Amino acid sequence: MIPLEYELALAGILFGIGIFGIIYRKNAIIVLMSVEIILNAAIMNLVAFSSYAINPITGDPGGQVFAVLAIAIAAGEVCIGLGIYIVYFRSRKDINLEEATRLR
Amino acid sequence: MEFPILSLLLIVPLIGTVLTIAGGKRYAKWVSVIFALISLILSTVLVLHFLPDSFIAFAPDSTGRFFAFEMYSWAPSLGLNYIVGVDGLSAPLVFLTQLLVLMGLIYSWKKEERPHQFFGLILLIGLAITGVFISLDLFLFFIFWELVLIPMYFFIAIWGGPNRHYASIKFLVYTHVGSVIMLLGIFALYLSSGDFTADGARTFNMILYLEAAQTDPLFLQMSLQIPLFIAFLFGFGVKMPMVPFHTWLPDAHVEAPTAGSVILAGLLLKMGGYGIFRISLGILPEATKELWWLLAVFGIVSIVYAAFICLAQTDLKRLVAYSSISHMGFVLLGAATMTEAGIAGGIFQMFNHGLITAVLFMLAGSVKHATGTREIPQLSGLAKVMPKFSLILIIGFFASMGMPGLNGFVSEFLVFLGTYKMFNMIEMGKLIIIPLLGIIVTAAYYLWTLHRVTLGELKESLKNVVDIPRHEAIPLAILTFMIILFGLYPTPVLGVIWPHAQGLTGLLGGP
Amino acid sequence: MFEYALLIVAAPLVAFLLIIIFGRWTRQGGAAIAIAALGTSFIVSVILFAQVLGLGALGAPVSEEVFKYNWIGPIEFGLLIDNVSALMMVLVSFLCLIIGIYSLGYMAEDKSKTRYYAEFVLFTAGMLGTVSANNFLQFLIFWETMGLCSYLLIGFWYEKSEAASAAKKAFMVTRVGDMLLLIGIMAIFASLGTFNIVEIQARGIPAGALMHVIPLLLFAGAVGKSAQFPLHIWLPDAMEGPTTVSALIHAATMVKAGVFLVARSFPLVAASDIASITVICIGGFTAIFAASMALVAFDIKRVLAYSTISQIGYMILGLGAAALLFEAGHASHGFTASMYHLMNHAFFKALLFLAAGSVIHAVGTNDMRVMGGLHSKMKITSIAMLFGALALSGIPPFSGFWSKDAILHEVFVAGEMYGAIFTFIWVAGVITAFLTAFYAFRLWFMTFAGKTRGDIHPHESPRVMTYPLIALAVFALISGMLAVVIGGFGHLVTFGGTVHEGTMELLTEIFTSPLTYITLFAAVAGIGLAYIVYCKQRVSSEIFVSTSVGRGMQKLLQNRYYLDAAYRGFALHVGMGIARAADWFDRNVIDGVVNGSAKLGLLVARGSDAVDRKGVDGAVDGIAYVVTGSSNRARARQTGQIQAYIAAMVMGMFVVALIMLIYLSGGW
Repeated sequence: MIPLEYELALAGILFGIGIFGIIYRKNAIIVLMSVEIILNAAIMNLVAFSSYAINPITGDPGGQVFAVLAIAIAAGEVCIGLGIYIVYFRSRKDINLEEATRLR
Repeated sequence: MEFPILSLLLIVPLIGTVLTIAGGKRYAKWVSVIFALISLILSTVLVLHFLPDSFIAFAPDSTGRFFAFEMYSWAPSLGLNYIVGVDGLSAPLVFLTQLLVLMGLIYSWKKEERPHQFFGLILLIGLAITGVFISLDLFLFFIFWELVLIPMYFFIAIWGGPNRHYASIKFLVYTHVGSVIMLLGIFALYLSSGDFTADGARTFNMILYLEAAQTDPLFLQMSLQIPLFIAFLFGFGVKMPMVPFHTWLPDAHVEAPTAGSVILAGLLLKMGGYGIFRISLGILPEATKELWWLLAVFGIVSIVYAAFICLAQTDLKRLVAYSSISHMGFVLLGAATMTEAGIAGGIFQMFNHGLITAVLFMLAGSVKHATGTREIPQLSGLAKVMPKFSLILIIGFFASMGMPGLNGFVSEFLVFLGTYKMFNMIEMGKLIIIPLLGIIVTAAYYLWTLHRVTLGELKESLKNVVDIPRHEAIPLAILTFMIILFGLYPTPVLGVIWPHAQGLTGLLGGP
Repeated sequence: MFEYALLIVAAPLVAFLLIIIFGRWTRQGGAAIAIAALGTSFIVSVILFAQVLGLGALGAPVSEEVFKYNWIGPIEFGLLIDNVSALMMVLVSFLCLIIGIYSLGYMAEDKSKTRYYAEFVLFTAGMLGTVSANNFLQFLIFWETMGLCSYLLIGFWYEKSEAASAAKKAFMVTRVGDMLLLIGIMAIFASLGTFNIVEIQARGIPAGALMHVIPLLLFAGAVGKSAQFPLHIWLPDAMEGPTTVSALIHAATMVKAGVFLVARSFPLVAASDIASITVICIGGFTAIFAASMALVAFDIKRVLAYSTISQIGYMILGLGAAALLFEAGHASHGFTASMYHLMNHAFFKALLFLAAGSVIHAVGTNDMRVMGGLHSKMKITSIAMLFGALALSGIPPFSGFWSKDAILHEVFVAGEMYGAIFTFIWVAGVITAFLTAFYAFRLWFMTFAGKTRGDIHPHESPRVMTYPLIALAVFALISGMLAVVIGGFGHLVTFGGTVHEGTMELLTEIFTSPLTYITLFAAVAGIGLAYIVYCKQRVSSEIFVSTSVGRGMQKLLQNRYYLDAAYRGFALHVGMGIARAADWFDRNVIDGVVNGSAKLGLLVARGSDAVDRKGVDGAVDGIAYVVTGSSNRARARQTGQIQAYIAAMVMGMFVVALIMLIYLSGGW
């Protein structure tokens, strides 16, 4: 059995990569991918804790159920994100995040 | 399963409302009248149940108090249920509701301005008022109670007179304040209900409260009953309306379209009276015994004060509005007497006042259509050109002033009888003189108005006035017929009401 | 066994419906239906009367309730048939029939005949229902129906504003009495638990304050309906209606309903000395009070109206005296005498009014000052009126003499027993007899004798009007004597009094009593004075107003003792004053509070808005100003770039995580 610490470390690394991607990449698509990586890190944690839960043989199926749910929601989220990009691209002809300062 | 007549009474107008509004201007009146007619037939069947030796019978609920009973679970964890049923108190009012809705529709036959919405809203308001009368769950009751306000607000705000915005907002805010205080009462009841229900669960079920009051009038301790009584009295009193919470009424009436006034005075005010008899007397009997004088004082003040104000009015509709306040005072006074005659008279007064005031408001509308004004000083000698109008006006006015042989007399007489029994004549009974003074003033303002409107010389400007058209005459004739019928033969309605009055009197145990 | 009596009341009611529905298509506006119904009522009530008398074997009262029907709860409607109601029914239906026939001529020109006959038969039904009611609630219903019809018929010519006002006044004033009557009836129900008249008469009111209050309240109703002082003011004005209506409703029938009410509640009145004395005083005072006002009236109908009030005063007086004697345990004929006078008065007053109507029909005015010398032109009317005037004055053998004499006799007896005050009332009664004779003949002489004063072209009325006059004139002559012939009216109607046994004894008793001659002398003196002043004109009528006292008196009388003005002032200033004040209060104070609280709400809203803008926002702004200064430098970081924000957020997250880590691991 893989120790919990390894899994948590993996998740932490994935989270760090995701954060890095969001902050430093200019391309919006890649930012979106980074968001997905962060989500995956979170899901990773869910699965890890579920297998580590009270019953060591079966684990707690709740965590895995939530993981599946989160994956499905992440898929939906990506769709909406891409949709927003398309709309944004139509109005600005560009999705470079450096230029996207309208929120100021 | 039994024929779900009460649910149908809610569903039929709902479908009617949707179809009327969706059907557009062209079919609006026919569709709405057909649905109102179906409701009226249903409610007639319902009332037939209560007549002695009737061939129609609806099963009672487990306590034997309510008939045509239906109960479905809604949100059981909160103690919320969909419970409907009628008894001697609500059956006549349900019938009255359907009747006045239909009459209001026919009266407005020639409505030009957004007719489909107008007719649809009338059906909707009828549905909401029916809901108030038949729902036996406090929460459901409150939902319908509030639902009434919305169509009525639009009624006044869309089809109203020149000052309609002020009037509609005043109506909405004022009655809403009353409702909110009543809502506090409802929640206080709900929160304390765990103490007496069998399983200790909180409930909105009105029957459980009524039963609890029956078995132990002190099921709520006095320190709770008294504030509850006052909260409910305020909520219902604003609706009735009782002096001094009445000023929304004249404004709302003056601005409202005729059908709106008919429903407002004929039905909306009855919701307050219904609440007094159902909740204040039925659920809080000990508080009533303690605070009956509050009801009596408000009733007497309403009767006399509003009657005097009538004397000073020049707008026919405003006059009828104030007379409504005066006559609803009898309902309060009847409730305050806690005697069989008084309570039966009070309930019957609601029914009678519904009929009479509908006629009077329709007449005020007709005179406006015919002559272009409702100002009494500008009218004169209309008997010459509007004989039908004048005849019905005379009957309506005399019924309202309590002429024996017309229905108003029966209920007012019963209330007085109750009052007389309540106040021993010699001890403190000189009080009875005060409401009787109100009756004399009532006669004065009606006679004076009759004198100024129908009698005397016909004014030059009114020479070409035509009598009421047929679509206005039909509802007037039907209602006038009922006024005379129930004046000479009140037994059908009183027979329905009397057992309920007996039950309440037994609960209150007299003064 | 009297079930058919229902027909008496039902016939006019049915006729009312028929006239409303079909009247306008029939030729005379439904007159035929009305006459047929009234005729039916009359014939049936004659049969009933005969049967009641037959059963009663002259004297023993019959009392039976028929046609009972449950109304609400314990209240049972039905007809009470006894001597009094049988007599009243014959009287009412006869007069209604006669006057209905007379109307054929009198109202021939009128345009709204349907309305007239509909209201006329409804009134008849109301009056017949009132006299035959077996309980007070039913009594009240029909009583008010009469009131309604009276209102409608006074205001029959509603285009005239006087008629409309008179109708309003009549209804209003009687309403005051009716309200007190209503309280009385409720008080009876509350103490006895029944409305039934027979039961109430039998049981009486239990001793206590109510024993006095209830009869007084009932009497108040009678005062309103019978136009007694102080509620008499409506009757003279009610003469604005058609003369037939005045004759029927405001002379012969409806105003007698008050007397009938006192008769119906006689055992209650008789149980209380206070009530009896009040009844006597009101009756006696009204008699002389109204007669005095008749002296100065020039409107032919108003003279008769005052006379009606005065004569009803006599009836009330008689009932009161009887009640007082009865209460003291003495037998009395007062009850009998009053009912006797009621009957006689109904005949001769209807006659006087119809004759006056005939005159008005011919002359076209009510004002006696333009009449005069009509005798030669309208012989039948003139002689009929003379009969009426003689009966009114109480000259034997005309009917008024017998009953008026009996009443005054009764009062004198009461006076002998109770002392000066009743002797005083008796004297007032005798003076009234003098005044009555005077104004009756003043009226006759001014109208028919001498020369015509105005520009008028009179003609005798058509037969349909004169025949009823003749019939009534015959009754005015014989109705009194008929009762004497059968040995006293007590055979027909009595209440605890003795019944005279024979005609001769009765006549002896009347004509040996000095009281009879005193009254008779007063009447003859009145006629004589009227003859001298108004016929021969040896003494000018100016002599009455030659002194300042006379002039003052005349002014007082012509202004009806200023009572009308006082009531009017009260209604206008006090009633309307309260109304205006209440209206002002409502609009300004109560609504002011409502609008004020709404305004207050708005004000609070605005205030909090201002506080929000100036105060809170100000503070915020102040802080913000400080912050801005520092943040201006930080502004460079505000690029609007999401990534910059996210970077900041992540940094923040790390800080928070760090703090938590330190905190959770147990501090530094």
